[in-house]
Amino acid sequence: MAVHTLWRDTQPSGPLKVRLGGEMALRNLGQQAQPIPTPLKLSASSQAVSMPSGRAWPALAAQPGRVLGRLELALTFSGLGLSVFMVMHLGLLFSVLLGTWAMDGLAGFLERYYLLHIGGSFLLLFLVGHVFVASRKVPTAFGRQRALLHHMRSINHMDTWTWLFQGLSGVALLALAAIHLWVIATDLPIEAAKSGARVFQTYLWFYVPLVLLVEGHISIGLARAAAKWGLLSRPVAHRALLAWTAVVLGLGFAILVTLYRLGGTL
Amino acid sequence: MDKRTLTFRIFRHNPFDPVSVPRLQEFRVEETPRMTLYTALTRIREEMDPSLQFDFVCRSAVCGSCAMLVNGRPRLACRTRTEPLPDKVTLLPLPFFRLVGDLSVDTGTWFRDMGRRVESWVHQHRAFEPGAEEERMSNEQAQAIYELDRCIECGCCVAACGMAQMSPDFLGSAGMLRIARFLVDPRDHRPEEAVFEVIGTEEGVFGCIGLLACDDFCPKDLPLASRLAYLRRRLALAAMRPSPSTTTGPVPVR
Ligand code: HEM
Ligand code: FES
Repeated sequence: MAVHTLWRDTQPSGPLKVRLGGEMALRNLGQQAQPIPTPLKLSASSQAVSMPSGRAWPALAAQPGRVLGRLELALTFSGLGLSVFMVMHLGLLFSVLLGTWAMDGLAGFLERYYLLHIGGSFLLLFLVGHVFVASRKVPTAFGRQRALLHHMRSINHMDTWTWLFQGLSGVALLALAAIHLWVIATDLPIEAAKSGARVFQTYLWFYVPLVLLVEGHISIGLARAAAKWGLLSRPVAHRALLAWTAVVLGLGFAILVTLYRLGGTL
Repeated sequence: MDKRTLTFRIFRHNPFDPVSVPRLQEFRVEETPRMTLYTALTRIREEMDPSLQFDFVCRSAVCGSCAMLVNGRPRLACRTRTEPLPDKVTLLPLPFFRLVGDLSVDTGTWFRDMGRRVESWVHQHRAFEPGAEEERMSNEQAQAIYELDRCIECGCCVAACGMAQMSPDFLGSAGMLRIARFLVDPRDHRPEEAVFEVIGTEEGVFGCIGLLACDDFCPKDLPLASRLAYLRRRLALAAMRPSPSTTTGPVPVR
């Protein structure tokens, strides 16, 4: 079975047909077939707007690339923005560890000065933007998904597996975050007692996967972003994010336990 | 230590033979000291099955012809010792490339084509003056170029790349590295748009999803991750600048 799959993957349409021939490459460049120029073909007249191959480089040709470049930046900045939001969100919940008064006070303060509404709007904006630019990277066609999974199982490489988690957790988060936001937004104001009751009554088994998925998605996403823009080397990025994950998961579950207990005492 | 008997499960198929069916064939080979996969495969071909196809030239990780999937992962067979491997070893041809037969694939056609796509030659917008003195290059510059020119075109990076498995037109980090090599070359005057047009695409850096298996599996330890990051930064920054005008001609890259 596996052998057949592999064979089909490595086999072009006809045995003797040269895969990825020059023709295909030149189609990619939007060009007609031209021989590879030798230095002898250089001429002074090629100075103006053309390369030695005689090809013109119209500025317009650069346009799709410019859009893609901006989308790439938008992906990282939206991920970063969402991560910052999640840190602030953690700050709000962290206050419940100090006591209900702290969380109620903080939530009241945020609401009085409309900071909650501003934050919420930014969150929605970033979330929609992030989903929009991230989904471009996710293979949706069955053939591509199958090829990727086959490859992942074969190569068994950590940063390749984590990307699968990134995609799957992202899709799951889309659903979970929407539910969570709806539940909170329709039950304002935010109060520790109400949150506790929610966690105690129905939502514990909703929040446990939500916390795990958000934290995993952020950690892996930030590590990946740092590596892909060359801000940190991968070993450093991995270690930094592992430490961060431990702290945030610890806090996250401490908060959940506190809310659960609070809900139980009501 | 006891001598091990290694079991090799080797992919067999001749795509040029209409009745050939892809299958795995088992061979048992007694392990010898300092055995490499090259030695083992040669033993199999000499003593058990002369029809087994696989490629070797240099046997010392220089020519890049012996890459294959060893237990699912791309490696150079000539520098893979059998000692750390388990008793059972599955050998498959590299994916992505055209199968020639058994473990032999045609990486050459793809690399030649990649070279064309990234225009892997020095671009100058001056006429060549045969009589002029050669321009000097600093030692650091020459070494920076050499560092990126060490690619042996074995294909391990492309075979390790998840994106390449999904999109056959993907340039792979070998292609990206090639462009990076010309960007450090002071003799190369290709305009920024030229770089943009070739790799500022979904077949280039903006298609890369950063799995970086290319970097982890490069047998020559080329700085693939850092060069990909460099190109991504550079192209993303260029994308934020207003688009260049058509009338001014080529913009020098640096
Ligand atoms: C709490 C919400 C979220 C946070 C904090 C977050 C954060 C991040 C970060 C930091 C990255 C790395 C960006 C980069 O590689 O440049 C990322 C990537 C990604 N996110 Fe999210 N994200 C969130 C929600 C979502 C949702 C709802 C989806 C749903 C589709 C999603 C899908 C993805 C995907 C597919 C990637 C990978 C992109 C790539 O590999 O290039 N994320 N996210
Ligand atoms: S035989 Fe030359 S690289 Fe292995």
